Amino acid sequence: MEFKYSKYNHCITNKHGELLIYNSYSNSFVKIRGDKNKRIQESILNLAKVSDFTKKENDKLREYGIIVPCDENETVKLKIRYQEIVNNGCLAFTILPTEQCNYRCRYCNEPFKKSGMTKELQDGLIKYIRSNIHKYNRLDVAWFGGEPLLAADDIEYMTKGFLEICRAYRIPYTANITTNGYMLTSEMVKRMLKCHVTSYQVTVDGLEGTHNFQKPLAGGGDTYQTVLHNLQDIRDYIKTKMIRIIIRTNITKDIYNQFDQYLDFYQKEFGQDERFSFFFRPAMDWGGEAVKGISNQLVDDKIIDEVYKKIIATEKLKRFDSHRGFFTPGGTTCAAAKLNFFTLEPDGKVHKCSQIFDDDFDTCIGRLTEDGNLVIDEAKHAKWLLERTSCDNLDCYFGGNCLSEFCPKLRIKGDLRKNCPHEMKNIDLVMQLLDLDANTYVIVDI
Amino acid sequence: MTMDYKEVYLIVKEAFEQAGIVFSPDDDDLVLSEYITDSIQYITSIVNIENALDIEVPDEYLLPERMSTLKAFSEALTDLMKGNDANDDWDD
Repeated sequence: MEFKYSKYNHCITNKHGELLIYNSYSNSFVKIRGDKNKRIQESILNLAKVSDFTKKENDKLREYGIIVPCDENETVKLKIRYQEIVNNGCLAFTILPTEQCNYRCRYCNEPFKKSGMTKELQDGLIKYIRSNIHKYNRLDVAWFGGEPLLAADDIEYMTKGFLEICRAYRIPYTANITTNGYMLTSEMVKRMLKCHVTSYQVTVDGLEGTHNFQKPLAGGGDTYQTVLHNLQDIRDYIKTKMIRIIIRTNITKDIYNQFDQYLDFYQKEFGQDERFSFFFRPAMDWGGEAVKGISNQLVDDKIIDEVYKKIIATEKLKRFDSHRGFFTPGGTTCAAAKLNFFTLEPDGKVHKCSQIFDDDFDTCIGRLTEDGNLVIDEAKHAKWLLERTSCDNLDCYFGGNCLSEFCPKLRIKGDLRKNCPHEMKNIDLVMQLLDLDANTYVIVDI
Repeated sequence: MTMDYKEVYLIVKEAFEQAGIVFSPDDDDLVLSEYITDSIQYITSIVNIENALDIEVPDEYLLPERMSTLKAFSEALTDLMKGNDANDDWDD
């Protein structure tokens, strides 16, 4: 049998002269070190003839999907991946138990109009899940907001119902939460662990000065020391290995200007605890009025490149679970493109996209009723499902991951600009970033 | 919380089953690696166990030698709970 290089490979050389390969179809991260494997490295980088490899080399490269049979049509094969992603057997909800928030972040686009879900609507959601769970092999819930911990009692109430159902049907239940961290004391974490919340994304915008400026309390007041203290308590007093704390930072110019101090501080505080990881995005204009006040602070992807370069050069932070999470099959495909994913507002409105506060575009596709029915406009719903038409480059190496559609909302809005996922725009740097975690790459010695 | 091995074994087995890991009824000593193939089921199981037994399972108890079989894992957790109880008595 003859082989060719997979079109889904992306190769770079890191600062140690090691070849890093990512394949977006097989989801392989492979490292080939130069000391033993110079010839292999150069062959792959220069796309030398695959027939020049020995059988042992062939077998290894094939194992990780770096080479595939010559007669394999990788574009057609992706159709199976598309089906697996769109209808993955998982029922998933992003639930906003409240749209209220105790913060007024400078870039937030939320109007804070709606408060909590009524008990009747919470029961309606539980009824819906009970009636439909037999069709699925898993239930995932993401708690969002507003600030979801303002409705911690409701999270506990609904979770009790979800867990009873999942246990009866013998299927896994997973939950994560996006929170500002102000109420995330150790006691709150213990309550949330009982609710199976194992992943916590907490935004900490730089050091004290920038965080307090960007993320003040509603009505004024600093937040940094409280959040930092909470994170330190989790580090010191919550012992379970089953949780992940993602410290997200929305980079602005001021945060970037202090980034060396940022790295020193957070490496010292959380760099030794593997449960803590870091996630970076540029602070952007996500809409609304508040962000206009910090328009001079917003940054573009070039600054994010510089952030990654500093981290790679200093090696002070090593875990980037969110960035890594995008590198799974369909990892950068938006959840909204999946058949059984819904975002639920406190008043029962159902959306596909979790970015629901877009003044220019109504993302609502239906409503949850108190008697447990999800009343969906199927024509609206169908528009969101993955179409693989947002990008016309079916030979792109990233296609195995994004499936040629990063954001269905842009497609539906008629925005036909080529819009690749963040991770792809900085792919060389992201691959080196992930290399800082010794668990990312499989070292292949041939 | 004091429990004997049999109670812990049943709770641990149920915790795995609730996460969707279906054990063979004829297997006297279930080899966990043969059943746990999905990381989501694994995490759900451990969270179930920690909540049911009111403990936090340390890293070393999640290593293959302690998690080799359901029996070995249950024995390890029973010992862990006895150790926790002894520490609590000492603190009192």
